[in-house]
Amino acid sequence: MKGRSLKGFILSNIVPIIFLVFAALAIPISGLSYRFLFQEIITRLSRDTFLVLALLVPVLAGMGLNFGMVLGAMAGQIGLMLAVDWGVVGIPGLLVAALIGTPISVLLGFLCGYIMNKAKGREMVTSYILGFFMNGVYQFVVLYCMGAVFPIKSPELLLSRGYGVRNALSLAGIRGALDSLVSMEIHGLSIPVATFIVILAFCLFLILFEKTKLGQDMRAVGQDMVVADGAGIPVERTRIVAIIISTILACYGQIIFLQNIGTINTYNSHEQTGIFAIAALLVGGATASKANIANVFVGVLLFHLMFVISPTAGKNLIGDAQLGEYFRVFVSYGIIAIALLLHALERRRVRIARMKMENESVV
Amino acid sequence: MICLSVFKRRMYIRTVLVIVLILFGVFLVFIGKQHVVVFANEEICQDGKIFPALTKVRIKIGEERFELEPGDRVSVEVVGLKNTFLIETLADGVVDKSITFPLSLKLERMVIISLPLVVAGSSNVTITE
Repeated sequence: MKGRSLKGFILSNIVPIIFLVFAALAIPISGLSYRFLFQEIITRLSRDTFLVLALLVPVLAGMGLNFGMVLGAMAGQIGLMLAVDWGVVGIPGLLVAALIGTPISVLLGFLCGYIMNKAKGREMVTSYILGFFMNGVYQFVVLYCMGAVFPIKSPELLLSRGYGVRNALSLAGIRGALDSLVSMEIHGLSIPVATFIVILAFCLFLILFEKTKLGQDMRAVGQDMVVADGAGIPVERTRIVAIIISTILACYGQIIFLQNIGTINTYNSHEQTGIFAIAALLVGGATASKANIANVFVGVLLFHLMFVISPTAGKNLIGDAQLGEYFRVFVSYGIIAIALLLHALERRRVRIARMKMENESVV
Repeated sequence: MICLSVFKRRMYIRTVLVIVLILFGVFLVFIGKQHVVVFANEEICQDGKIFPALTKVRIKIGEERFELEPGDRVSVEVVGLKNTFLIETLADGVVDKSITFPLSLKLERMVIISLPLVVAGSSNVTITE
């Protein structure tokens, strides 16, 4: 019994265990000091956790991993661009960006949720492709409309031709606004307390949200849409609300992420947001149908630990940092592929089992 | 009828919430707006009267302090609507005159302040270029 439970534990946590073993082997090889590693992990936890947490609500509603979170990231970036243009700095700058980003996120989230309702069962690939489509719209707005249609005046933002936003923007006035609002130093490690308070408040919100009627509706919809519909739950509306919440949170997550980085790569910053957040969540042991807060923290820690140690470990082991990086990319994104494959197989297994049950009941 | 009143109440609440958020946004823009204040220690003519540049002047804002010779300019980045500067004129290295200069700003990105006019107590101390 004990052996079986251990086996079950290992099997159900195989992905984080693989990463943990890999990290345990690679850390000594990398030769990086523990202080440096701890500092990097603290920084990356504060930077990325909010974005990954934004994925939990759609998973709860049975919509899988929301690749459409890039839509929220785009909204956050537009908010930040306008905050920079208006010269609003510090915490007010972040709040203004969030205020501008929120209605855009709601609109994009509604659009995403509406389309996902038309493609039930294929939400992930739909949201992934929708992200590409909206990226085109975003590029059109930022490259052609800003300065021409939308009034942008700051020469720091505009291209020399008079319209369109520059490729890279400095967030000098906003950089570290939240991280340095309340920070403390413990044994030489700088800890952005305010950012962690925001993240913990959001975790608390998620825990409480699951207990609300809407949260319970989402859980019911996630378990079985037909049964939930029969129980009088507005399935499509609930799913749209889940995506809207996720998109808004992705917008805030991107703002927190960029205030830590300090620059916006106007046309690329948002592109990898979804992939990185989803990879981190899966590395934390989540699946496309089951994810919790612990998965988020474990995932961000392990996934970003790989980012830090892989190049140095690869360089020390093989003499080429790039090979270490290739290995990390191979393992990290291989994990996503395997997790999505397992999810598809599980869905297929459930569908076949259900069909068998229906046939038996008819006979 | 009951449905209508619930709908109406919901719309009122949502409208009020949107207005409050917009007002909050405007408030944030005002309190978080960064301005560049340029202090110019240059000779200036106002209302037909010439105000010569100050021999030596020191400006203090927070922890920062700047000393200007005649013809110098210095730019300071400030945040918010109201900021107070301490302007001291120096004679032989000793503070001759000390003026607390409150500066109220709106949404302008940059203002240029003439130090000779500030020290002379003029009501209009900004320079337009």
